[in-house]
Amino acid sequence: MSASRLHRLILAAYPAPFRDRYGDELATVAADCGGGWRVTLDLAVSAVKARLNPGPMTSRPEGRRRRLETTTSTVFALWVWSTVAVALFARAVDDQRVPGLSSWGWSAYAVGNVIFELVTGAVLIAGFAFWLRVVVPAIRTRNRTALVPAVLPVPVVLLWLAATDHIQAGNYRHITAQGPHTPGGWALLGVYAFFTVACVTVCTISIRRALRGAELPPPLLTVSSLVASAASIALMVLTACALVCVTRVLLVGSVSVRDELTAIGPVCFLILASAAAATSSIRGLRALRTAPSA
Amino acid sequence: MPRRVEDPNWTDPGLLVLASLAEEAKHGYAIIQDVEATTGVRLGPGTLYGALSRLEQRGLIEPLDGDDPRRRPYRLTSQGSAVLAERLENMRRFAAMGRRRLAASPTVRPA
Repeated sequence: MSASRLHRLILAAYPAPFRDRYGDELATVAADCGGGWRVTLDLAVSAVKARLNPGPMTSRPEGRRRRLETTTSTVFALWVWSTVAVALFARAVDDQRVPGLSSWGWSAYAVGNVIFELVTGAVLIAGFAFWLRVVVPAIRTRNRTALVPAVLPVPVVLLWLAATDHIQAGNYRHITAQGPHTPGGWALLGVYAFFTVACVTVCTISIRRALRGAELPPPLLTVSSLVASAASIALMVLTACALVCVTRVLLVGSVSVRDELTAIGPVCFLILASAAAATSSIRGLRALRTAPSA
Repeated sequence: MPRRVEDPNWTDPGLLVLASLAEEAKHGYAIIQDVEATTGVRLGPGTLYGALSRLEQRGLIEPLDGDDPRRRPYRLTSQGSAVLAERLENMRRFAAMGRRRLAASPTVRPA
């Protein structure tokens, strides 16, 4: 790999506001410096520093806007990806209920379920409201930059709903007839996970592009970031519930290693997703607190 | 007295950039060359632009319109000049104090 290509890859790791402002200049200076491992290492270390401390960029109006857009789309994507983890977790502990899973373990599972249902509904409603706020002005002003990526998720989500509805119906039939842990059952879950991840990936990319193209007014971005922060808190509570439940599952001791792994894997994912959502939300909240300088 | 985080020491890339721009407006690579020629410190491009972003954010430097947007020159603002002058004065006082103490020491003589 040539030095300039490697540098371009590293530059892509810088925060978007930094890249927008200094990316071209930085690439030119890196090329002037002649490449070499010292230059590459310096670029990589500085990219990490810029990621860890994006403060200087988020106080610019454009940097602040990009930060809030990123927080909104990141938390939305993490939440929807977590639905796959929740489905896997339910497969482990609920499709064929773990013997002895009762009292506080079951209560935590039930509380987590309620939170999951409520917040998923809230995320969908809020998402739809923001979607309208992007699409309607884009239609009026014929802003294709915002309209095309905003409309694209609609057929994708409809396809996802139709596909997963069939998959879920097939899954229940399969479990009733043969139990949850058969190759066919896992294949159905794999197809569900594939459809969901593909759908979320398309939607996340589209949402980012639509938000950027729509250039929403700052108050609306503020609201979307606050909603994202609330969803992050809900994700953390949901993760705590799953952690309590999986602790109970492990304490029960009558569970096979396969079931334990099926339960622990999604919880690990939820912990990582919660941490990422919390980090993104904190950065968004910091950007909100920072008064934009001209 | 605890060290103020905002205060750069003399090897701080921010101070090196301020000192380089005190002479005249320069673009990124010219700053690297000037700093290396005058102090022997080779700034990496990532380090340089990390410093430039912080200094620009604090209003100590500002970009100028250049012919080539990939080689945008920067110059000191009046606030940047004041901050640089203050830092250099602090360093001068510190250096003078150190040399006085060395001179007064019975065992060590300054070169």
